[in-house]
Amino acid sequence: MSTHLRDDEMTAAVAGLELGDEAREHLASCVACRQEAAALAALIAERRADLEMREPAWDELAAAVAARLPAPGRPSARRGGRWLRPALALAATVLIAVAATVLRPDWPAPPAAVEPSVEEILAEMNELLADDRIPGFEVIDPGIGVVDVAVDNGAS
Amino acid sequence: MTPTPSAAAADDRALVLLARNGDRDAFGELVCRHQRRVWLVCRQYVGPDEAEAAAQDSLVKAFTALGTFDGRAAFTTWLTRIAINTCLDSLRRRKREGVRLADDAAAEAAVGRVADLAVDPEARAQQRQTVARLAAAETGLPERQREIFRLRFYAEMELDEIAAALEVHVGTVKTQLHRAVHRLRRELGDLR
Repeated sequence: MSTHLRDDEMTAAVAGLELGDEAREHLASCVACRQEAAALAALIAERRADLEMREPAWDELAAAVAARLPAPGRPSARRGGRWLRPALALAATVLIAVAATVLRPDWPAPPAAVEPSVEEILAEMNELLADDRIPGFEVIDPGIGVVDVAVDNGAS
Repeated sequence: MTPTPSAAAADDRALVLLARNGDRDAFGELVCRHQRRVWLVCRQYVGPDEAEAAAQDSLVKAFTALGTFDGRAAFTTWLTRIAINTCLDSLRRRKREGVRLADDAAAEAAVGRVADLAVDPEARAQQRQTVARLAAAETGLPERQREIFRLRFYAEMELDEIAAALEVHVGTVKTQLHRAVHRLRRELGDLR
């Protein structure tokens, strides 16, 4: 690679992201590109060093945390945490639904089949018998034309 | 010998099990192992003045929530997430109460607190100035870029750790970090 790193390659080099083979080889051999990449990296390192000047005393921080921990047994009270509450809620819902079904006093009775009275059945029968068009009655009723035709045919 | 990350994670899980059963020494060991990371993370969000209190809050919250740690992520990732959420809650509270946020204060404070790496007074003054410019440029970054930049460089987190803690894809972390560094380079100009 004869030209220097492209802008995006230089950014990747500073950020510590992957570089292509060619770019990596160029960076290894080009002082100017290495200096440019190192300049911002060094500035970031300086700022980090500045920030780390204010690190706390770790023993004191650990002791402060230990002093603030809740009474023993508290963490284990939440064990099984993720599923325990939804499972309990579901169980309670099912229990309530079953209890409501079984114990509900004013649960409506299923509608009983309506049976017609004897009088209604007799009236219906009378109505049917009064109808001349009931099939089969032609044979025994001599006044019906169909029977007359049959008699005539037999006579011829 | 430094334990490998996976060995350390297995140790953490064993300590978590003990701590859940009320072993305070086991939790104390977890605190000793991870308090620096928690503090570094808190410092990026609430600033150095309140980082210690936020770190304490985070660690106490972690203790009370140990029962919810399911071991799917590494303990350190789970703990980092608690620290970030604790800090964001604190920032929201401060914003509601009208308290000035850490970014502005940190950028200003950096001017006067640069480590004495340069012995020459003139060089030291110049160094202070450039570090202050970096601090100011950081505050101008979009929130997500600033967050990822600081977690990467000041909280010393790996890219995949940041992705897990922020619950985003590692590709997103790389993209945001690239944009952040690109913008800082443009803002700061030639540093050579």
